[in-house]
This record gives sequence, structure tokens and C-alpha cells, in this order.
Amino acid sequence: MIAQKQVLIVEDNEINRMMLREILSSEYSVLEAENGQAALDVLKTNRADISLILLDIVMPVMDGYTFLSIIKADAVYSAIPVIVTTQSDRESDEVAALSHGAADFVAKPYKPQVILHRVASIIHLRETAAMVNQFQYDRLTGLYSKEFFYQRVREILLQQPDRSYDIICSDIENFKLINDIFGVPAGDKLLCGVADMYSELVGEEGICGRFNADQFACLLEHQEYTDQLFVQAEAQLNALSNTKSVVVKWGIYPVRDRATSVEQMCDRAFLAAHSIKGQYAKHFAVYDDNLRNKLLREQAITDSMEKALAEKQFFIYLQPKYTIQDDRLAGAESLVRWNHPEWGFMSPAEFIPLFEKNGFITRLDQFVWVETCKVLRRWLDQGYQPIPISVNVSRADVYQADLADILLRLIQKYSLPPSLLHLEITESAYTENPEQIIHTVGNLRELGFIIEMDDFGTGYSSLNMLNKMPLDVLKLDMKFIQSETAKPIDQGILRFIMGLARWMNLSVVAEGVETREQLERLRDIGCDYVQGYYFSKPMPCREFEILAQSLESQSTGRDVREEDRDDCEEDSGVLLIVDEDSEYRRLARETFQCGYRIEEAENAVQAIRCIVKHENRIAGVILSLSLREEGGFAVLEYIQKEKKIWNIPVIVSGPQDALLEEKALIMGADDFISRPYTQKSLWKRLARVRAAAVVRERERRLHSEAYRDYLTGLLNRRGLHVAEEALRREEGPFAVYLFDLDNLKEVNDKLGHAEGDRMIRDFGSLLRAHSRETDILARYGGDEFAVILKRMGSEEAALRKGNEICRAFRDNCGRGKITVTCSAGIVVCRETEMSVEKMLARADEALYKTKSDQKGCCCMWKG
Amino acid sequence: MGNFREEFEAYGADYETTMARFMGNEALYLRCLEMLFQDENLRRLGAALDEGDLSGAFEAAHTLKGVAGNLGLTPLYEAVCGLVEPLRAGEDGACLELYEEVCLEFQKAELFRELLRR
Repeated sequence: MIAQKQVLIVEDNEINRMMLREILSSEYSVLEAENGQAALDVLKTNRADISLILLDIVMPVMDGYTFLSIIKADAVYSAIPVIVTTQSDRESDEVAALSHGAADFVAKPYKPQVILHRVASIIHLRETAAMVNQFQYDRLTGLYSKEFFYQRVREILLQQPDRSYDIICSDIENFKLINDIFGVPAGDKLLCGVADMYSELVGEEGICGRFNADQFACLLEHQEYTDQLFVQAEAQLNALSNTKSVVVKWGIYPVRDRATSVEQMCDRAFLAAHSIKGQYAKHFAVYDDNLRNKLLREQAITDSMEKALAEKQFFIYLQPKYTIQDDRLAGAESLVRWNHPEWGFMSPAEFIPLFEKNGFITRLDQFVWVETCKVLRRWLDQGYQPIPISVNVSRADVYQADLADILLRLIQKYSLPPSLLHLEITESAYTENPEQIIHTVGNLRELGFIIEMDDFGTGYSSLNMLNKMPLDVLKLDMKFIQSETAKPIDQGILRFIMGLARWMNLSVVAEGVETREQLERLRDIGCDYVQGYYFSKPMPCREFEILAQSLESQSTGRDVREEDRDDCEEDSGVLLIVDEDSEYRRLARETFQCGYRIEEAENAVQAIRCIVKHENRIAGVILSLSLREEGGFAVLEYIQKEKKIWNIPVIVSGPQDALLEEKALIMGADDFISRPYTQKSLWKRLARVRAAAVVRERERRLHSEAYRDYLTGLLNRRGLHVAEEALRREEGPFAVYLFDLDNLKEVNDKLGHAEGDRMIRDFGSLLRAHSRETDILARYGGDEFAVILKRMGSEEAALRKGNEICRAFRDNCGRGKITVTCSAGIVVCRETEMSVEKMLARADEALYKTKSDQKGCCCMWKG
Repeated sequence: MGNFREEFEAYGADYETTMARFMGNEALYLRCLEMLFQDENLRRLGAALDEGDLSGAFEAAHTLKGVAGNLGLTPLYEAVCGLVEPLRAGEDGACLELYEEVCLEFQKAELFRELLRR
């Protein structure tokens, strides 16, 4: 329903007012005023909502002419048309009215039809004129202009309160580049193509407009959207121009709250589109609360970054790099961390891309360089064997003309040899302006810095360019070549890269190494250095130093307390000192307060309370066995019992007593120190037990990861072997299955390896769904899965189960046009003496038979 | 209510034209007609003429004219028109006589109202 337009009647005589109201109220909502002054008051409260004024001239207080002069002089009201009511007796009245700015006049006595027609036509005329003023149409494409689009959306939303709508908008990525490369006429042609596409998209139902340059928007009735729609649209665009590589990002704003202004709705649709800018294979985004929150969060981060730098909320962590051949600590990468006072530790994945976008990254990088130089200087001062630390040099840094100066001044200030500072420059930085970058980086390299090419293999480096680039080290991110290592057979690319590196005299660092399998593969192909969670997470500098010291296992023999005075910023966690003697506690606090947060306890109850509070934030416990009341063993016992904290290093102290020492070690203490002891000795012992704890933790992780298949999370062959050793006689009889995915190769070839991997994962999930938790599931080889189902009484039941799995796979895991099937060989075994290996061999025979007879089902082994 | 068409003709007014102005709504017409007799303009006209205030007299007569026209009271309307023109010109020569005539027509209009009311 259209809201009624409002007409204001200004007339002193009540009879005339009543008549006019009667005439007009069938079409309009009517406001009344009895003189010019009262009319001005009405205008003030209703402002622009009044479509027309009917005005009498002869009135007390303020007459019609005065009123006309006032509103015509006021920009807010001057657009409201005024019709003057006159006596028909004098032409001069009419002339006077028109010359004062009236749009028209009507005579008394009133002629209702005449009044209604004049009022309607004057209102229409004014509205049309107002719209024409807003440049209704975009000249190039013929779509609505931005203002007029807004106006039309407002009208439609008002007229159709019961329908739900979406606003869709789009942006062409790098449109300016298209104009630049292919010329403005080509760009214009593309824009007209987009306009046609929009018109087609909305049909008769919706409206569309062009905002500016390459921004378009439309209003459509609400529907669900799929990639397909937008992929098609993009293909259509690429077909019509010779540009070929037009990428369009779409944003959708579902109109829910109509109180939101149309301008804001469109802005939000565009924000949604911008949020996926540069993301390959993302075609559209819907503006929702998540996106809104994300944008708000980004804004909040941007607002607080300057302050964070000023207030030293940023600091660096070091991640160790090891030589692959002998596990030697060979270097570190310096990584920035942000501990925000309210939000806590922020993920670099969240703030780094944002800083890269807004340019703050150059300031942050410089901060990291300075902090890293300080660390290197400290190591030299303290007489450590210095190891090189690499820092990131962002793409934006490379464009700074004085990059070499900045770095050179920095190493001079801290008197460092440049070879200790490795510069990691991302490969994609080279692609934009290769000549300049090669020149800049070449300069740095001549100055003695070591240049590492970061993220090698993710950009588009040509071999020719690689040859020209001044480089020392290639850095591979396992994240990007993971699917490579997941396929044991095909290591072609990795090998090729290694060959290339050797030929160019480069060393190779693999980062992001997370599993033992990856490590072994890397070792196998001759990679030089490794870095990743499999070895060690990034850690505070102090922790890194402890690690380095323990690995070096050299005693420097210097007073630890003295050498640590100069830097108290690092926080390696909580150190809990449990001692009944306040003097011991005080000494220990002094020794460790640089580097740790100290908690003290004087009895077992306090100590346990503190452990409960901090849990695995506790870096270590120094525990006196001679506590009053429960004694120190109570605390030791508690730590051993608790799953979460059993790995916390504990050093116990007590009188020199061999039996006591033995008991403490049996109960899980990591070290025993007899009283009285020196702080220096205590310091060294803590460093050692902490390093040992790190190693322990690493082994635990290794253990669980080494037995699991990376892709499916099922057991791998090695895991299967361990699991079969644990099989018990009473769990039999066992049904042993060997499944084979018949179409993996076809899927890999036609749809790509990612799709093949997905199929493997799907089959893993399917096996899980069709088995009990105690059954044994393993990925046996590329497309082979071994399954041991326990307590499977009969061959019939085993066969039924196998067919059930084959059917479920065929029905649910199809890949588009490719029908997928799996085949299985089964053997049921009652004799526990028979080895699983033998059973698998039989299952394999049965599988072979299935595959040659009838693919896609199961076959039982017949002796 | 009386027979409007007959009473209009007897009084000397044009029923069709006038009632068109009131959307054919006789009750509305009667309500508006009643308001004429509470209207101050006739009294103001008399008072202004007594005081020799010609422009005040003109304003009142002008308003009265508009109202009488709208109500289709042709005899009254014509009487008022006869008065408005000399007043606009600032001539008060024949005004009192003309005013008498207006008053007379006003009474006739009141009678017309009575008849319509029945």
C-alpha cells in the first residue's frame, strides 16, 4: 500500500476549510492551518513530507502573500508546490499569486473536480522534475543511476512490505587494470556487458543500477544462491570480451530490517563483495552478522595498532630451525606476537594480512628487525655461539627506496655481522616489479645479508627469473605442498625443486613440518633444514635460549643471575616455588624472576591450589620435601595423578639422603637437589629438566601422529601393526576385510587429486560410520583399506556387512558423472594363532578374485 | 430534512452545481450552511462600515462573498458582490444601502436554512 501523500490547506474560513478537506480527503491526507503563521508551524514539524499546499490569500495574522514569500525563500520548503485559492473576480489576484511563486490557482466557488485534477497534476509534475534532477539513468549502460536506484528501492520496499528482497552488488577485480591494458572502449564494452547481464538476472521483477566505475547493484526478490549462478555470469562476461580473465566478486545483503537506510544496505552488500577480494574460487559473500563482526573486528584492530606498537604490546617469538641430517639447532625465525591487554594473544593470521593491506606491516617489520638485532647482540654479549635469525621482509618493505640503508644502519647500531640476519622475502614480491626488486635485494646480498626466498612454489616464478634472483636459501612451506607429501609415490615436484636448488647452489629450508612422515620424506630427498611444530613451536626468546643451551650442553660457567639482569621482558610461564623456608623462596624468586612469573607456596595445600589455578601454564615446580603438615610428596603425587600436568618439570629439594632421593625420583620428580644448594646449580637443573620436558612432549606427539594416516585419520600401516599386536583371543572371531576403491585413478585424472583425496576421506568416514569404536580401521595403501571387525560370528554376517559398505559407498560417494565403487576381499578367522599378515594376504587373494570377476562387491576367501 | 432540490429552486439557487461541490452530500451541505450563521463576517462588515473602516469592511465582505459563493447562495452572493466592488475601489457612497440589501438577503438565506432543516 502506498502511503498517502499529504496536502496542507491554509485557509482562515472554517467553512471553506471544511469543504476543501472534504474534497481532498478522498485522495490525500489533509493537514490544516488557519493562517500563514500556523502553516509555517505545521511545515516545521512535517518538513518535506508535504506534497502540496493550498493557500488562501486574505487571512488574518499572516496573509497568503507573506507566507508565500517566506517559504519560497527557504531552501527546505521552496520545492513544495503551492496552489492559491482566489475569487474568480480579478485577474490581478491571480497574476500576483503566480508572481509570488504559486504553481497554479483555483477559483472560488470551488469546483471539486478541477481542484483534484490541478492538485494531482502539480504534484506529479514536481515529483518528476525532482527525479529528473537526480540524473535518473546512467548514460553509459542505461541502468538507473545510483541516486535513482536508491529512490526506487525505497519505493518498492514501501509498496511491498510483505515480500522479502535481497540487494546484490558486484565489483570487477582490477577493473582499472582492464581499462589500462585493453583501453577504455574495451572497458566500457565490458561494463555494458555487465549491465546486460544484470538486466537479464533481475528480469521484470527487480531493478538494477550502476553506481560508479565497475560497481553495479540490483534489488531482487529473496532466493537462495549457489556458486553456479555467479560462475555462469562470469563465464558469460568472459565470453563477450577479449579480456578473458575478468573476475567478478558479488556481495549479497538480505533486506531484513527495513529501517536500515537503502544507502547502508548497498554499502553492506559491497562490503560483503570486498571481503572476498582476491580469494580464488570465492564468487559471492552474504553480509551477515559474522561478516559484520569480522569487519568491526578489523576496524578495532586497525584502531589499536598504533597504540599497541607504542605500548610494547608486540614482541617476538623464535622458532628453531634444525639441520635435517643431525638434528642440530641451526637457526631461528623471528615471528611477531601480539598480546593485547583486552583480547589476549592475537593470531598473526588475523592481524598480519590486515597490516599488509593497510601498510602498517612496514612499521611492524622494522620493529621485529630491531628486536631481533637486540637478541643477537645479547647472545654475542653473553658469549653464546650465535646462530642466525631470519626476519620477514614484506612486499611493501621492498618497495621502500631506503630499505638497504635501514637494515645497514640497524646492524651497525648493534655491531652485528650481516650474515646473522637472514632476510625472508616472499616469492610473490618478485613478480610485480622484478627489475627493481632484483636490484634492491642484490644490493642487500652484496652487503652480506643472507637472502631466503619465502613461500617458494606458491607464486609464479619463472625459471629464468629465479636464475637472475640474488638468493641463498629456498624456503618451502609444507602447507602448500602437503598433498605432495601425502602421496608417497609421486614426489616429483619436491625432487625437482631439490635438484634445482642444488644446481643453483641454494640450501633448502622446509617450514611447517608437522609429521614424521613429512620429515622422513624431506630427509629422503635431501632437504637441508626443517622448521615446524613437529620439532618445536615458536617460543619466547628466553625459552629458546634455554633450549639452545641444553642442546649445546656446554656449561658457560658464568653467574646466571648476573647475565639475566639486563632483560626482564620475556615470560616463559609460571614458576612455582614451594618451600617452607621463606629465605629459600626469596632467593629462588630473585634467581628466576627475570623470565618467569613466580608463584610461592609454603605448604602442600597452597601449592596444589596454585597448580589447579595455572595448570599447564606452569613451566616448572621447585618443591621442598620437608613441607610442614602433608609434606612435599603430597604435591608430587598430585602432579603425577593429573593427566593434564604430569609433564610439568619438578625439581625436589631435601637433605642429602640417598633413600629420599630415590623415592622422589620414583615418584616422578625430574631431579633432586640436596640442601643447602646454590642458585646457580638450581638454575642449571631447571634449564635441563625443562629442555627434557620439551623433548618428552615432542615424543608423545610423534607417537600418536606416526601411527595415523594423515588424510583419513585412520591408522596407517604401522599403526595397524601395533593395533594387531594388541588383539586378544576373546575378541574373535575376526573378519578381516581388504577394500579397494575401484575408481580412484579415474577420479584423480578427471577431477584432480583434491577430489581424489576427498573421496579417500569420505571412505574413511564411511568405514567409521559402519564399524564399532573397538574395531580396527586402517588405510593400507593408496586406495586400499584394511578393516578388522571383532566378534564377527559367521561368514554370512561378514559378507552382509561388506556388501553394506560397498553399497553405501556407491550410493553416497559418487563424484558427479563418475560412479564410484569399491571392492572387497574378506576372510573370517577363528584361529588367533594365525597372523594378521596372513589373513590380509588371504583377503588380498579374495580381493583379486572380486576385481577380476565382479568389481563393486565382496568376495569371501575360499581355501 | 426538506426536499433540497425544491427548496433550492424556490430560494433561487442552483442545486446541481452547488451539491456537486459537496460531493452530493446534503447533510454536509447543511452543516456548512449552519456555520454561516455563526460566522462573524457579517457582524464585522456592519461594524467596519459604522466606523468608516473601508478596508476592514472589504476584507469581511470579500470573505463573505467567497463563502456565499461556495454555498451556492446565489441571491446573497450577488448582493455581497454588489458591495465588494465599491469597497475595493474605496467608495463608500452607496455602501450602507448595499449593506442593508446584504442583511436582507442574509435573512432570506436563514429562512432557506429553516426550510431545508424541516
